[in-house]
Amino acid sequence: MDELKNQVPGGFSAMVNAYLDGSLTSEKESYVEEIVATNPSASKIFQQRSNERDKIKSLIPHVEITKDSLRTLKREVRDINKNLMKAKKTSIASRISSVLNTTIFEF
Amino acid sequence: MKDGQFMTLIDSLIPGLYSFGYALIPDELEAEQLVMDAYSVFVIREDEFIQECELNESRERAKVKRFVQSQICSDMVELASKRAGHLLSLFRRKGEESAFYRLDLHQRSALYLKESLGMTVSMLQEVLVLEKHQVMEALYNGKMLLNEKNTSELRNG
Repeated sequence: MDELKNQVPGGFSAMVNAYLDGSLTSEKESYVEEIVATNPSASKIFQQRSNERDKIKSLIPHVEITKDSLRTLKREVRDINKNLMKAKKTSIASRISSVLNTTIFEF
Repeated sequence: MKDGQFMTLIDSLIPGLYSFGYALIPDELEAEQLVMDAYSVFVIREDEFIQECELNESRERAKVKRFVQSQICSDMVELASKRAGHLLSLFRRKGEESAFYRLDLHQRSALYLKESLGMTVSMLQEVLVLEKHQVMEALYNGKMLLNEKNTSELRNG
């Protein structure tokens, strides 16, 4: 009976990965948590996966943007918008005015 | 769409895009340039979308944010793949970062976007323009190689 209780459900390992990704529904999350709390083999798998995930994360560099770079990039994207997006969608009034070659509100 | 709304959305994406740029090419100026150039490519290609998209509802905002983020990241990967060859010296790094920068571009991108920006596999497919099995392969091989290279780095001092 104890052996059965200690058996890990099929697909549990993949479910743990999804749990650690945060991509499980809350119902399935509770299911994983319940198995981990009651089944020592499942708990071992969970711990192993969790440690592996932490190790991988620690090896991925994460560079925070500096204030200067943030300021530069904010300014640059605004310049890009100004230079590349201008006058694509003009209002009907300005389109008519360009056809008439005059400002239509000045009569 | 109002200009201000779109700029607020872009501003919120900049820190993540910059960090991703650094994961692609490990240099502050190159990372900045990568963001700017990818954004230019995006604006030229998606001008109509930018001008017509609506950001009033939070659901719409989330959808637009996901689209914009994945498109710019995708352009960054493509630009980085063309530039990396000329910037080899930047990749010869020592210390903890060295194992990561010895992975290939797709492995680095997939690992960074998933583990640091929290992207799902379907988002990674959009960004990397790969099939699901290819994304899974990049993630799996990336993790294995990262561990392996890190262990050998530690062994060799």
